[in-house]
Amino acid sequence: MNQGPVLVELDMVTKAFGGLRAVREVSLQVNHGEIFSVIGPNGSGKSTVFNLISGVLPVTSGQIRIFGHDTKGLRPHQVASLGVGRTFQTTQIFADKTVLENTIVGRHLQVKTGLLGAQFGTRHFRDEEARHRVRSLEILDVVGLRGDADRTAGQLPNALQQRVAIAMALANEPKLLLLDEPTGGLMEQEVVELMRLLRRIRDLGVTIMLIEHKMRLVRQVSDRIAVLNNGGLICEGKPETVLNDARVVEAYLGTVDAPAA
Amino acid sequence: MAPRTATSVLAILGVLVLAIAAPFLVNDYLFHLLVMAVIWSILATSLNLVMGYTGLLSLAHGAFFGMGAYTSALLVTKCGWNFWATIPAAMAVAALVGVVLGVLTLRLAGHYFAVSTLSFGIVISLILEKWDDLTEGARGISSIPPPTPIPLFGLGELRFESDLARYYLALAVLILCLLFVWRLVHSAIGRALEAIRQNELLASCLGVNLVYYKLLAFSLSAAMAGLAGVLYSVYINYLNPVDAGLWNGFYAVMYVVIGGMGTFWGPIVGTVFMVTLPEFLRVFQDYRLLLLGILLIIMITFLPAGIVGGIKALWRRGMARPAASRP
Repeated sequence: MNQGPVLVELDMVTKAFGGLRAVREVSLQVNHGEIFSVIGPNGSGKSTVFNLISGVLPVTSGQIRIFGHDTKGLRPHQVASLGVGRTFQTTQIFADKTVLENTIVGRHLQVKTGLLGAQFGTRHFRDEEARHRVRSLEILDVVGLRGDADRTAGQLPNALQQRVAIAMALANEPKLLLLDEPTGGLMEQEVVELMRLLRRIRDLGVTIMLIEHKMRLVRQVSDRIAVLNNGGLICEGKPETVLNDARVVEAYLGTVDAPAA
Repeated sequence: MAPRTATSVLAILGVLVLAIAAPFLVNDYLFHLLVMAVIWSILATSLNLVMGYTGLLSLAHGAFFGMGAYTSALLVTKCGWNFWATIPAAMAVAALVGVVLGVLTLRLAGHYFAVSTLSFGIVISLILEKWDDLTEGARGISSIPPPTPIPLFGLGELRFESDLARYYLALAVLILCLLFVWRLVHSAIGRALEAIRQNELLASCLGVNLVYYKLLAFSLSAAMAGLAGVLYSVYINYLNPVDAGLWNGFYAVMYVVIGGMGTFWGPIVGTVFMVTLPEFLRVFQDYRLLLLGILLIIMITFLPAGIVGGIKALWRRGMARPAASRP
């Protein structure tokens, strides 16, 4: 499964904010169908890498190829239309909408009816809206929120809000899903459930890139791991190799914010 | 769901009947306010599309309103156009200028955007005042004729000389605008606009083209504001640069805020409330404006979601309680 074609390729990618190089000359490849974790101490550039891949930030130098497309100059919505979905470190959802409404917003790029179709309430428009509803409910099934479809998203507990964010990203039928610390603030049992969810999503054919601090989760769920420190890639490979690497141990022990794994 | 829908339909029909019957229930002056309330409601509804749904505070809507009014009035009085043909022209001019303004300013965030639309409004009313050859300058355009009669094939014709006929024309246009906005906000486009208002970063990562949808909302809204201006020009029969000035834009912002930003009925409720309120405060004579100001401050402090938003919140709380007590 891990030997599939390359989905994402970072080639000597650097991101500088003024004089600070948050990401420096990172090269890595993510293969089709794998769960690829990006770990590293706080401030090591993990989230910046996600922002570069999803087009939220432009690269300073180097190249990012997604499904073979050079993404230079692409805006986030254009990257999304290539088939990339993402969540954010601080959970981003539409808090005053229902769970189902949130998911339907995520269908945005799948909607084909335009202004006129909606204005005249054409049959095509109504059929399409109904189809998106059905598909959104299926996606809520995947993330385990079907029963909460009509609840206001902002009133759900933290763990479920994170799933709403994942459902929204999945609603665009992505081939690549970027999850930025999905376990933030989760209880032990919830982390186990999330691990199952990640595997379920991977088995649906979605490649996952994961930023994570919970080492047990990373060890158990990842096919491969990349470790960043001070913006540079210090190690990359299978979990057992990477997590025992001397440089990785040093990077973590050398910081105050060692992960509580 | 079904009984609620039925209640809503009944309520809407009730308001419609009231709106149709209203001219026969009020005196001349209140009737004038009624016509103005309908015209301002169209402007407020158009503004709500950008300010309420998309989250862009535009202070240029007075200018779009004035541009629509001037375009129609000039084409009728100077070029002899049929009034009905000037409507699409006026809307197109407003929409086009809206697109240009949007391209220039929509990349600006928050207050910067609002300030640039404000300056744009000032520029437009200055142009209308100084371009004397075209617009008659500060003298304005007078004796704008009523809309051209519509022949009813063998049944005479629909004439618009009376204020009553023009009231019903404005009412019909308002209803069409409301239908348009209703359909728009209940489609993928409306979802995209609301997503932009709530969280631009998330919206763009979900695939929403921010620039495109903001421009779309802005130009549709400008066209609708221009349409309101056209109706104003044939109701008042006279235009001067003040009609395209900042005040109309500010009033529209006030109507939308008081009624409830981003709610469907808010702009109309806010407009009717604010247009008629000064009349009810008349007994207080000189203190009228003072009271109005105090009331505004109180409303914005305690009802930040506006009248309609406040009612909705109360309603939801009322619905939540019995639901919570269910086993």
